[in-house]
Amino acid sequence: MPQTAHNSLTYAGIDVGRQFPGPKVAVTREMIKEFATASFDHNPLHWDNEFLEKTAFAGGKKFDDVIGHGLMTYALMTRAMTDWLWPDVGEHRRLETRFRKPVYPGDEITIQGQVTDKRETKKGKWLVCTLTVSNQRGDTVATGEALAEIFV
Amino acid sequence: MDEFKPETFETDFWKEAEARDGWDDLEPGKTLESRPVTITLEMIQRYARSIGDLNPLYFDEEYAKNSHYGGLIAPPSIHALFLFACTGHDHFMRTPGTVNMGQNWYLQRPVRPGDRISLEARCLDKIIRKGNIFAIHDNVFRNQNGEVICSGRGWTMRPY
Repeated sequence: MPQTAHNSLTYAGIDVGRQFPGPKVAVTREMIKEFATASFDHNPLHWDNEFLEKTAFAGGKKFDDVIGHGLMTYALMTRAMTDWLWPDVGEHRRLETRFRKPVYPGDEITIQGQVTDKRETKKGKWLVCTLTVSNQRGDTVATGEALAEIFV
Repeated sequence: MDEFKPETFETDFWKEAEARDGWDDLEPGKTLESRPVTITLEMIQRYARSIGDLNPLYFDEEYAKNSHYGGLIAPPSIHALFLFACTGHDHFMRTPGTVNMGQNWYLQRPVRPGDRISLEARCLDKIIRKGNIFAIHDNVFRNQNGEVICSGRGWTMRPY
């Protein structure tokens, strides 16, 4: 939900270095299944343990369990932007992500954002933000760079 | 291809898996077949709930109407759904064991319930790195007015 405390945010009032918390999510097998149904991505990586037990991936490594969709993590990362930008502060314009480690059922992932740069163009006011997704073991499971266009 | 219908979507990605293009068959730059999807409010809300995103812009018509969006919209990552809805069962992205390595998307305008979304898709590049094979996916989604909704690139590791 949009946080009303952010409604007083303006481009001028947001400094480089400002941190903002994103969602904290307990990932479950059920959640992964729901994302598969909602997004129509039924890749067996997300539901088929038997397939995963017999299949090696990069460097001969196997996954320990079914994994969450990269785009599920991506979707949670967009929430780290829209939760404070919408509806009036600005628009979430871009997100570039790297999925670095698998997200497993039982993981609790936390997203942390930080404004790393500001830029005014001829027609717009922009913030560059980094997003870091960590699990309960402190591993970075995904990183991203987002662009926000600020209206106010 | 005929318009996407949720009731006939094939969820068994193993089925006819061998008929799909493998890494060797991909031709960077070649336009891939796609189909349009009419996105319903139900699809938008199911997607939003699946990621725990209960923003009133997706659920509260009155709130959304009074915002500068002027009505309900979809979450910004709704292209995750379009990637599968707008491609056929023979698209190589469905090959079991495809691992998503990264995504970047530029979001031009919001998706609204009832929009008819079409896809312009291709494999843009093929890479071998550290003994693994990868494909770069290039996708542009447009609405029924021909306006770009979002444009993005995905990077997947290929099982074969």
